[in-house]
Amino acid sequence: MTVKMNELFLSEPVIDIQNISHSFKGHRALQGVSFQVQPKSLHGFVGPNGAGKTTTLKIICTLLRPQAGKVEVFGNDVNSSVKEIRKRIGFMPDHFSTYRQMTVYEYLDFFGAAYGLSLEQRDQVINDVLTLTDMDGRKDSLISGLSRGMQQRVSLARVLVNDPDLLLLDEPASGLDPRARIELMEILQELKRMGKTIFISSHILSELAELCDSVTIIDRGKVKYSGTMDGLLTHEQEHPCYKLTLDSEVEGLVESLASEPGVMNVEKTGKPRELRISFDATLTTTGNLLSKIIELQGSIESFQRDKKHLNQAFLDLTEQGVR
Amino acid sequence: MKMRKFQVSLPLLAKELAEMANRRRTYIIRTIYALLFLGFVGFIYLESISGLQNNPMAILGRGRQIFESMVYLQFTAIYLFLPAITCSVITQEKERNSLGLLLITRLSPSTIILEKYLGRLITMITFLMLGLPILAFAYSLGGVSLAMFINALWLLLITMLQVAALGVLCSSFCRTTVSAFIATYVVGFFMLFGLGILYGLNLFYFGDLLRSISRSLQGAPYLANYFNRGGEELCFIMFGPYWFDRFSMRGGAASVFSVFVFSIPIMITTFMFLIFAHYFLVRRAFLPARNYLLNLFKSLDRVFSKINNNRVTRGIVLVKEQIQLPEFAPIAWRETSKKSLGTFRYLFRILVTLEVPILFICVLIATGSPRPVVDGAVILLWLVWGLTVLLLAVSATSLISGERSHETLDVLLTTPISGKELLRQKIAGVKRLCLVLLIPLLTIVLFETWWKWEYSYIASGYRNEYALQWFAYLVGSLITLSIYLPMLIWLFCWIGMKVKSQTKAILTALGLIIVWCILPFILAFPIFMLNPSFDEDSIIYGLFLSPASFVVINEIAEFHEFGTPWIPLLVNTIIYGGCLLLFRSQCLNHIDENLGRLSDQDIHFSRDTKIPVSDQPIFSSE
Repeated sequence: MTVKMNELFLSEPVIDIQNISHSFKGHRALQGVSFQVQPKSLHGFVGPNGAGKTTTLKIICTLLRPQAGKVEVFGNDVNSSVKEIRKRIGFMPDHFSTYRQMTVYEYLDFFGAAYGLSLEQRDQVINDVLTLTDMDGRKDSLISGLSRGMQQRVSLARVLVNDPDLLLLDEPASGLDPRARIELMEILQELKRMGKTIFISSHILSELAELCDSVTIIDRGKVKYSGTMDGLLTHEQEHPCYKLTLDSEVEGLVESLASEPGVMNVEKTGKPRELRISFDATLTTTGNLLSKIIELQGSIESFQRDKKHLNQAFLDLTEQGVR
Repeated sequence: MKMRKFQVSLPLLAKELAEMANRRRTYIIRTIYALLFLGFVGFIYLESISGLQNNPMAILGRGRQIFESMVYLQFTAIYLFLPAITCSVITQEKERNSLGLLLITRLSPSTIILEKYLGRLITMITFLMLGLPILAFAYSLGGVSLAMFINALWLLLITMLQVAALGVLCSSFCRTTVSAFIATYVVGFFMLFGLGILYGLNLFYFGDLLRSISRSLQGAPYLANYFNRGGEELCFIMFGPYWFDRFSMRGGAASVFSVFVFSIPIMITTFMFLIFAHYFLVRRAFLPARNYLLNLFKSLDRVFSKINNNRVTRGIVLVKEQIQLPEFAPIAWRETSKKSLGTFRYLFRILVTLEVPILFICVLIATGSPRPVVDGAVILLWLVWGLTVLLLAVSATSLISGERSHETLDVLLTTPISGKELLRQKIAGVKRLCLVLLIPLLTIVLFETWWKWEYSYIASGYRNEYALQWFAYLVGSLITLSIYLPMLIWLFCWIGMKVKSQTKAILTALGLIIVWCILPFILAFPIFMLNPSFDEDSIIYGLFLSPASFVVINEIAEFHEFGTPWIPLLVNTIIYGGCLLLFRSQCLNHIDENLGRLSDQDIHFSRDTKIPVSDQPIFSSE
């Protein structure tokens, strides 16, 4: 099920973080962090090393008490409703936290029992999550004998055993090969379609850009941006910017377009036959621009809105320096 | 062409020393050591001059007592601390995955071993150097011959080389620091005292064998004067303090020469240890993670299966083990069916492996010992106690620290299982292990009780009346067992929760229990030295601050100072019953905090709570 963004931000947030701060031995890990995660959304949580991502995740999943501020998960305060929150979340840390001497089935059954499921319920649920994660054929394999990708799937299956409404995933794709990464992302998309809220902390920005509805960027304990992914990729762009790709080079095109009324800038992107055009929307339109290009004998291969890449947005928002 | 000056480059040694210098604990430990050491010497000095108020000059010529005490203290320091200092020398590199990087440099394996060895020796030498001015002071007081001085320094040096070499060997052989730590102390103990124990018990006629060897050595021209203690010399051939004791009374070049001759075995073992350390360095550099305990059990399985498959039993299976999935308590299920030290099958193996030899040795000892206190059984009980402490330390400290080290704890903590329930289930496997270890302990205790009971009929007028009080012995032993075992479990659990890494937790637990056992004795020593007229009765109960005291006193039936066995038992029960309750409450009352998660209880914090913050920019990871 695809969730429309305008609907998304009208409902009560699953995670509501208000002005939290946390320090470790004098180091301010978090300083007045606030953001919200909407239900049934896939929310990316991005930041450089040492930004405070893991601390925030630990606070959300009831492992750490915020020293100031308020955190609510499903409307429950993390300080007072620990049990209620734990029943409804599934946490996957940034490392393979599996018992290596167990089989896949035993491991999932172990956590099923830890969440208080009966033997019959567990059997049903385990078979379902194994199917979802495409691990049916490996349920009797020892975890120690599985590849990293497989182990990560087992971790994901474990997160799903108690059918949580909120998945908290810390760097789920780290250390995986490209195929395993793609497969993991497909599973996450499937989970999103199933209506789960997914809060995912990751460094792999390109994948987040494709997956996430919303994103929070954090740096040195402060939130730099929190909102929709589209908003991040287009914000700070005063004038619409488009990318034009031609079938063949047209002599004098750049100069002709630049002299058009309302056109702010025309430049080559560096790729063959590709131009970036920004214009004042109050003075001209895309229709006018396209007419002009055709008039100049330009054969158009593609013409699309130029979004800022997540990498660039990330670099613009975060500060340089080794942490 | 410009010639380069010859340079001695010891990069690994430089790195070791730089690392040591950068650690704050180096200076703290050194200061504590110096204070303790100088404190002892001060007490001994005060004791020496206490009877000489009228003539302070009479102290001259009495440096011998201070000197000897100092030398024995230095020996003790070497045997106690040096294994701990050296056992991590190679394993640390293995655990950091940096040994491979060292091996691909131009450093040869022998250079690595020697530089590492030297690095740790320098650490120990810095400790021993603290005593040099005092040794000189004692020497200046007179009463210490030059030969004695040279012998002491020589024996201290070669003992240090030997113990450090053993530590390096164990470190080169083992994969983890914990296994190297245990191996160094165990091998070291048996190297120093193994022959002595066998000799004392005369097991398998070993004492007779040594005596006959000693007699034959008496025929040799030079050795005749030295092998006159019926084989005792051969038992302690590796033990430096023994030779210092033997030759400290003698003076002259002959004494120095004798010490040198009798230290040859120590030097040979040192050399052998280093050769083997070199041999194992590359061969065992990249060991896969292995569960040695599991492997041991598997090999035991094979032995038992082989024994079981005979014409009579035909592979009979008395108890069929079935691994079923957990019904309600998954953590307890994992502890008792997925861990070597919790599984019924393996626990049964431990029981049989311990119980059969114990029964055999009990019978053997009983037939050869006509006294109510059976030395062999006493030593056996202490050995089983040692093994029990070791196994409990490893298993109980690993309960939480193991999960933390394997990074599986966070996931467990986000489940709705409460902290107390989590610990209750976690401890299930250790409880099983404890019960299994209780059986051999009880076997020896019951054997000794029976022996005392039998003996009380045939020798009512025995000189040590307490040795015949079998009922007091039995009650004392049972109460001690019932308090100590759970107390140790809770203590080790608590350490496991407090210390972040599994290795550190195990080493801390073992170190703490050793210090706890010996510290009251060490502290009692200066008190008596400071004031010899001190009323001993008033502080003798202070010895029960060591958990080992009552076990020792009860076994050797030395209750003369107390007049009755019951009051010491009561005092001991109160002290350790209190400790048991304290450790238990420490574990359970702060369980969530110790585990690292929010408590189930409702605790509200004001939104306006201010946190202490620094203005420094953040350069640390979260």
